Amino acid sequence: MEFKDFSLFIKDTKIGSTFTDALVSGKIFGTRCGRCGRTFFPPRAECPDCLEESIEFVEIPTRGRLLSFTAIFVPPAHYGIPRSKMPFAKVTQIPCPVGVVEVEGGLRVMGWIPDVDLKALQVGDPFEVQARTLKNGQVTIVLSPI
Amino acid sequence: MKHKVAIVGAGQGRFGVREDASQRELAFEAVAAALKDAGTTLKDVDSMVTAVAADEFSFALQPSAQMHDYLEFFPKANFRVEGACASGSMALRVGWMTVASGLADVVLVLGAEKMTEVSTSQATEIMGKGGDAIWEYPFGMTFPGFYAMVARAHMAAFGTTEEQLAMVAVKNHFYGSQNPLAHMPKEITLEKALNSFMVAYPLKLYDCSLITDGAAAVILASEERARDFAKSPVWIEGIGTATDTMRIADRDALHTLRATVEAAKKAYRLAGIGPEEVDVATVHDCFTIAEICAYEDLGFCPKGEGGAFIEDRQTYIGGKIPVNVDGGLKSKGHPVGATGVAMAVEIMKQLRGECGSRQVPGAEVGLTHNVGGSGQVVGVTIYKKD
Repeated sequence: MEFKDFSLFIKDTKIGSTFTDALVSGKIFGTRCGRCGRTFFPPRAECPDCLEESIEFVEIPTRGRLLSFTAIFVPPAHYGIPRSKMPFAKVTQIPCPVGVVEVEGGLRVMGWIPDVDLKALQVGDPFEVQARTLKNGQVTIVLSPI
Repeated sequence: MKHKVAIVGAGQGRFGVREDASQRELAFEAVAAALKDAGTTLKDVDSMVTAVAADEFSFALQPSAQMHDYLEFFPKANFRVEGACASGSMALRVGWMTVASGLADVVLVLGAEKMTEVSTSQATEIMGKGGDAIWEYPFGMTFPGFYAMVARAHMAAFGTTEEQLAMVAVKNHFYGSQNPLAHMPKEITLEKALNSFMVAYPLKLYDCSLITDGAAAVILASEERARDFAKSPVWIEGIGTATDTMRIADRDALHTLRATVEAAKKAYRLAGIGPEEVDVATVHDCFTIAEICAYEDLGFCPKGEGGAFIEDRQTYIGGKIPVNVDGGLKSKGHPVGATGVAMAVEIMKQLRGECGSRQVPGAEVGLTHNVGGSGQVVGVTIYKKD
């Protein structure tokens, strides 16, 4: 399978392609240490407690609660709109909110919160995390209210 | 500690958008001011430590060597220390270790950053990559974004309001307007702060600190040498550093900077004092919510009461503990590598009673609190008047 774009630098990691391939198939993978059983999200290839690479990929729980959120109105250059060259013109961007969900078991997952009014969001709301493939082929994670 | 360490000279150049000066020239301004303050020259200095947070702003490798070269400090030692926005405090710590260990008697600690050679959106990108480049960057997270999540968590847990956040900005601009070296020395109203444009919900323009060029320097000396300089020394009584997770999402509580709590514990223990004995403090107000968290995490008020603490004006001069009466990062400015050193400069001058209209009367114990990134590394330092 062709490598799917999730983020900067992930291609050159030990977990990259397994993680992004899982996202394409609708699954969010964490990892578990085969020795002590500790589970990680984001996934990582080594256990810092056991110093071992005896890691297996596991699907993480998907339901939990919204821990916090924001919406970035002044974006970094990679998500910014180029400045309009038209005199007197203004270009405004309505950003998609981003948040962090604590899923059952305590792992924390960051993701986009599309199609929800920013002002309606509340810390503590029940949420579900989902893998999503975007129209441009990029894979990402979205957070949806339950 | 084996040996006591004093600050014997302190200096800061003008903070701002300094299109008139290169990074090495900014560094020179601060070093010259610190040496003149101590009544000495570089000939009397044994060793040097330099804080620069990011090469990305200056497009050059070894920026600290460029500044060292411009000072002609050969062949004496200089090396760079990096701890993001806490680089200055980490350099101060390394300078303190150099003197406390007996390795050198007089050490120059310099912090400098020239941030405005890149555009605001590029600076936002560079700073945003100060978060986790694999796991947070794809969601467009920026520095204001991280602290916006801290703010929402604080508001949800304790009922902190956007008005209370804005009150921090109003206070810091009030004092910054009295600081001739500040980047934005002007007062603002609560209405202006509340009506400014949204940067990262719920943080607005006036909740954010500035992208600033600037430098600051202090001269440290051993107990044997501390009284050989022009003015009375100020003693470093306690110093603490602590760390936390790269991703804010991984922290137990988003509304607390655990690294602040732990660094403060160490600094208070070493100094043998508690928070109630601090007379004046500079805390890391990179965003207004960060100052409110700092009140609580440093023990100036109970957890959750930081919003009410600023609303009751307890951090103005005349309140329980004056905080950031130099204008803070908010109005004085935040040239990231220089910030921690500039905080030490302010406390030095406060404890010597040299701050004019914004002097805290009778200040004898001071504290600086400097946060790297969104809490990945924190330095807390406690100072006492001679």
